[in-house]
Amino acid sequence: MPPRLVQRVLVPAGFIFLWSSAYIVVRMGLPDMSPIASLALRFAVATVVLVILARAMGPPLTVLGNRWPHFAVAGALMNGIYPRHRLRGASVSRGGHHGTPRLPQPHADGAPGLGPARRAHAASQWLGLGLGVAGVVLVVGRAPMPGQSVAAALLAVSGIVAFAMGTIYFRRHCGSGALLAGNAVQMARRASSAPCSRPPWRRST
Amino acid sequence: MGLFGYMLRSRTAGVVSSNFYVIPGPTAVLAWLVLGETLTPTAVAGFFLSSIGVWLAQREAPSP
Repeated sequence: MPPRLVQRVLVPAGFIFLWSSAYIVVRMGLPDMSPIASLALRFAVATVVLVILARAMGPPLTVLGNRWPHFAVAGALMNGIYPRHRLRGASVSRGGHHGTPRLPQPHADGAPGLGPARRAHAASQWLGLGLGVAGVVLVVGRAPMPGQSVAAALLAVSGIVAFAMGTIYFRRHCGSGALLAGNAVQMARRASSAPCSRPPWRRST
Repeated sequence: MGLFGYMLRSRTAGVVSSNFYVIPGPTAVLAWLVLGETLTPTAVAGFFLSSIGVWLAQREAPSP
């Protein structure tokens, strides 16, 4: 199979499918399991699967050496805050809302001077990102967004900023090396913090 | 996220992150198929528009 086909088509398609289907799984499991428990279970299962895959397909886990903290930091930044908003959204919103809290993120990641190579987007890329935003707005429509409160908005913005920082951190410090083993570290880090992901506006209820 | 990390190895952060724009579309389609949620023609149009946008954003992406 041509590497370009894998890198440009199959991997992005798999990524989009996994993220899209996550909402369906959470919604289907809501009657039987809380979103927090669902999140913790998903991360725990992913950790086990990644460890098995890393052992079977890649170099031993020790190949990470003293670089594993970088993967843990990237995991904490990329999913330390955002799952709280996402859980809230999956609990109360329609499917099209899934992923919308990340709307400005590609713009943040690609802003001039912020990218890992400090390379700005070309004009056509900015046009594409603009069309992406317009398309998402059409999908979401005029239905109210979940958690329309100042706390929810701040959490969403914080999650986007943290994820953008995590993306750039990953690109700079984790881009090379054992990806499977590194992602097992990331997933373990998320699984350990998932019970703390209860949205603050629900703590009093 | 493993796939996200894999893509980040060969492409810029902004280009890889642009994939997030496509996610609401397939989610709405899956929610319509599996959960019976409403799928409007506007949402379908938005899905295609965001897909074109992401294709455009990734088309001339310079390799680092």
